[in-house]
Amino acid sequence: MKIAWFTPFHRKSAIGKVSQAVTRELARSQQVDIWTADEENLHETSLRVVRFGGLSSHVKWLKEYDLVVYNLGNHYPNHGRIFQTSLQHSGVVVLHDFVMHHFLMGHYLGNRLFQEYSDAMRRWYGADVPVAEGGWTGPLFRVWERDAEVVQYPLFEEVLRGAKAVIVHSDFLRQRVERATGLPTATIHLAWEAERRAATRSRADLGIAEGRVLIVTVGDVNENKRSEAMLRVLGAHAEIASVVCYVVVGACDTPFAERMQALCRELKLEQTVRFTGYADDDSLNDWLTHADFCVNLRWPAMEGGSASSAIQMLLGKASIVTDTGVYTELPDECVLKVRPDHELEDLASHLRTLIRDRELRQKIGDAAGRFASANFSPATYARKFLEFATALAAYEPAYRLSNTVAAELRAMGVSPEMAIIDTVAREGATILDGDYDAPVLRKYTLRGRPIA
Amino acid sequence: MRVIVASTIAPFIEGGSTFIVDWLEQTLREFGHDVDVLKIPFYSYYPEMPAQMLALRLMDVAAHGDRLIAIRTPAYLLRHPNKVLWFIHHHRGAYDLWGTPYQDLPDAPVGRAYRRAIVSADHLAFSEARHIYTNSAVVSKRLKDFNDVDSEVLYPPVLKPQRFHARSYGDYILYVSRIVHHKRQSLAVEAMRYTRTPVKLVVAGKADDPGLESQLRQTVQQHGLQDKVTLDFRWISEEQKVEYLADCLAAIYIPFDEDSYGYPSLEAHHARKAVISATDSGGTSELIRDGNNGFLADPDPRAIAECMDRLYLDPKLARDMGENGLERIRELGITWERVMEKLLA
Amino acid sequence: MKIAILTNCVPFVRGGAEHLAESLRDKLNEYGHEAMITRIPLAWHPPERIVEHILAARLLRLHNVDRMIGLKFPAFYVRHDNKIHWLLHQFRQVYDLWGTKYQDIPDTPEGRRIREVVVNADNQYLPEARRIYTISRNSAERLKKFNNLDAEVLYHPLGKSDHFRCDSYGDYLFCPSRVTDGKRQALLTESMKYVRSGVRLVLAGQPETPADRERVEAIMRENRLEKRVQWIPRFISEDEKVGLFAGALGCAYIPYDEDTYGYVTLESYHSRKPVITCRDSGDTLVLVRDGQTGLVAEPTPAAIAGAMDNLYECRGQAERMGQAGYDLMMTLGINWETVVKRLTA
Repeated sequence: MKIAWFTPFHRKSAIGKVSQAVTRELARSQQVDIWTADEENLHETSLRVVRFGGLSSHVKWLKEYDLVVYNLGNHYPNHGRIFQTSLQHSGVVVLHDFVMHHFLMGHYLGNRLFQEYSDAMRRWYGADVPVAEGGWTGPLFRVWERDAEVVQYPLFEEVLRGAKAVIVHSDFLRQRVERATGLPTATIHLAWEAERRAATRSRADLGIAEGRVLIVTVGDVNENKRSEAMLRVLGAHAEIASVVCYVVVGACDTPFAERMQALCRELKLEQTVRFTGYADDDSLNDWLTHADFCVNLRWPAMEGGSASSAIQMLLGKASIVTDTGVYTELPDECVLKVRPDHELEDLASHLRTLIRDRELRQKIGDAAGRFASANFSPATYARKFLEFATALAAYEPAYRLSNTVAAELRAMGVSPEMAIIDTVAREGATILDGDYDAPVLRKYTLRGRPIA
Repeated sequence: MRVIVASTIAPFIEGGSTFIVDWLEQTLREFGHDVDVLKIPFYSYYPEMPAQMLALRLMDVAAHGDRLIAIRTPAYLLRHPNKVLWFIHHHRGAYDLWGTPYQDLPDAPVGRAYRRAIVSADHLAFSEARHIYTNSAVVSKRLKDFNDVDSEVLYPPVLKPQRFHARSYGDYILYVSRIVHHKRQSLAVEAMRYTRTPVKLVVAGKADDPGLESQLRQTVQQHGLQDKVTLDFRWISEEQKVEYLADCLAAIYIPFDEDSYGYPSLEAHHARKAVISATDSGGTSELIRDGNNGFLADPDPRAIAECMDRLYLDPKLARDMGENGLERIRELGITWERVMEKLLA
Repeated sequence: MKIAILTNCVPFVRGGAEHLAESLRDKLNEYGHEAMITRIPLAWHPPERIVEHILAARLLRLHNVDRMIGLKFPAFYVRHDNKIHWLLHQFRQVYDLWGTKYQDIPDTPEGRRIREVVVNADNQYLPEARRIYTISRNSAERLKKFNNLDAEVLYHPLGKSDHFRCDSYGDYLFCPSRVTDGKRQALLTESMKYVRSGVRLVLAGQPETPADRERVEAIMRENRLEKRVQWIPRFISEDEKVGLFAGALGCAYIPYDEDTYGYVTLESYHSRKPVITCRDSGDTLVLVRDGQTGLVAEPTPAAIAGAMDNLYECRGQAERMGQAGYDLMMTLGINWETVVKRLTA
């Protein structure tokens, strides 16, 4: 198969890194071209890289490929052009995030497409959605600024308009995608290159006090990662705070991050907690290598998969995660889970456990390592990806028929309650021997899916 | 009875099914039935087939007519409580031609998916039919082998067979048919290089491809066969055909691997003339028994020339074989009475 | 050009549309094109079928066709990139017949949705044609009013017209037509009561129902019109019709509010005979100009009788008006040359 793999590919992109490894594996048996809108400072690869960022009529070249793959994540600068291409030439979408609202806001906000935004919100969530009132001036209620709100309006449905099939990295997201769209969807564990490199600096170099248990959290400091929870627990339990060194590795230059740093000072945790700011790969590797265990909390779940968990598990580290979203699917032997409604309590309890019980820490870490090697390898990802892509072919007649019929029914203004939907689904299923689904036609194709 | 005859057509492309549909319509009327014919355009390009098949399922004629007779694939997808199939061929690219250079679906996952869709739709239609008839044993066998479906052979007769007659057994062998590569008129002309008697050959019919006509002319020129071979490259009317057959010594019909015996063979027999065919002509062997009502020669110019000479030298043989031909038609029940009886049962 | 004429059908029902399609096909072939008719089933009970048949039309695929001519709903929705429509009429049940007893679709939420779909389909798909013609002004007006689409009137000619002739201007008025309530032969017969001249009436046509038959016969009986009115109560042959026109003084044709003029007026003009019609006869008035090509009377027996007497009293006038009628037909372009030219442009 000839595959066009659309992805962000600059070095700072984690999805780019995943793509680098997966395409390398795919290229062992298929012909793979990487398509990216990024111009420079790209991940290394021996594959052909098509920089389509400056092109406007590149879509016509996609006809030459047997399969076109679009990696989409909740970040407009990285994925905007990829998404636009998918609307003109449908393909398999690898959906990295559950919440894609911010991504779409990047598009709508950037292009002042207020009507498009309202239409999309209403299309998927009904007429009573809280869309921004008053246009761009005047008092606004911004759904996307509140995590608790935005997870109710994830808008991933809207970005899948160019998808003929979807790959996600958790069953959590797969169920939601299938229910909303009826598209063939597969769960494949997110892949990550297992690279155990020796640390370049020692614990002492990093300034970690002798005898302290090093706990690491990786990622940009934001509300979703529950930094506040850790600080509160450490603040409330001096006996924990006094024996650990908690390091938050990730950009911390936002107002929120500054508030966290202020909270830290307020709780008198300067000796315990450190914010490193943005860390490059080597630095990150140092911290993780030396970490005794990791804390990787999220609330509410917005991702479709967790690269940070993958990295930590591949390094054989035990970690504490929130029992939600993709993290729920990690085996209990490999991670300790915190119940969202008992967050501080469970967090304190797990911290004590892992601090006290070195052997358990090791056991969990090893289990995590084994699970990760088996499931997060790029080779496994590539293999499962190819299995899915091949199986998709079986769906092609139904997919094409569905699109053709849906386009005509939309053009003549058929509404979803009309009897024709069930009639077509029934007759379509009898001709295609069961590969056809009325809910698919009703829900997704009538709601604005473009013609393949 | 009120009978709907339904078939698919490829617009403006002549095909074998045109005759069976039109002649069935005419004969049904002659027998006093009310007929309406539906000819639905169908484009056999595989990615567009499911949508058209769905169109056939949506068309509602179920409340009309006492019977629906569906002929060319996939007209039989039309729903009707009294559906009878007179099945003439599959979408062969998905069946017996799959795995040959003639398969029209790619042997890749997507092509295989469409192939499954075609087969699945066929199965649906077969399960809905009251009776399934075919036009030859070859096709019945394919239905059994590929779809595990039982069918009865119902040979298609020619229209108004009483038009044909024998006036004399002259000196020419007649090949009247569309001039097309696989009908192998070229082989018949080649054979004339090896005949030893004054027997002649008349090739009558129109070619879609003028290149074929010039090729045949060239062969005649090249081998100095102008006195022996007449090339009549016109569209031959029914009347002309009757005339040609009335005075020929015998007919020749040597297509490559056709499913059915072909109307030309039948017409020749109605005119009480023997038919020279080939061992690899396919369905003609259901009609022609070698040495009885014609010959099944090796597809080789010399072997064919021999048959031609034999008939020329033995006019009684030519006559007897011709009579046997007519008898063979009766034996096989290739009559409209039988067709009416079966299709309207 | 290879031309496909698309029209709908209800199996076993043959009407004006079938005649028109066949005439069009034959004329296109005469003018050197290759034309074929594709008839697609239409069902509208239950109303859900309407949407199914619109979709079925959209899913068909016309391959190897240079030009498509759409005549009726939903056949004119079939996809093709070179369409010209010659609309007989739309699915009027959702337009001017909505709100009357002819609307055929129940006024329920689902029924209204179905109605909307038909209107949307017309709005979306009719403009796919490069040009739209209609056979009547009424059709064109409705298209403009309901769908804001511009269409030109292209009158439909008689299928065959060169066999009509004029022998003489006799003493009878001729009315050839199926006998129905709408065609108002009863009114015509009743008018004979008031006639003062020697003019007679000849009716030819099958009564649609026994009630229609009885109605006319009763009037004849009660008014003792047997000597003045002759009724041939059956379908007459073409020859008979031509003969009766040839010797007639003129034609009397007074249907109630016809949407599209029928063939009768054309037949009369081809025979050079004037036409008596009524003010409320609908589209027939396109063809009949009062005092020039015939007479237009109030729809009362006395007024009609007056027109009949008028015509009888002046044979010269009849002849003049008959010729003028023929000329009007030509002026209006009611001939196949015009039709073929427009539809193959």
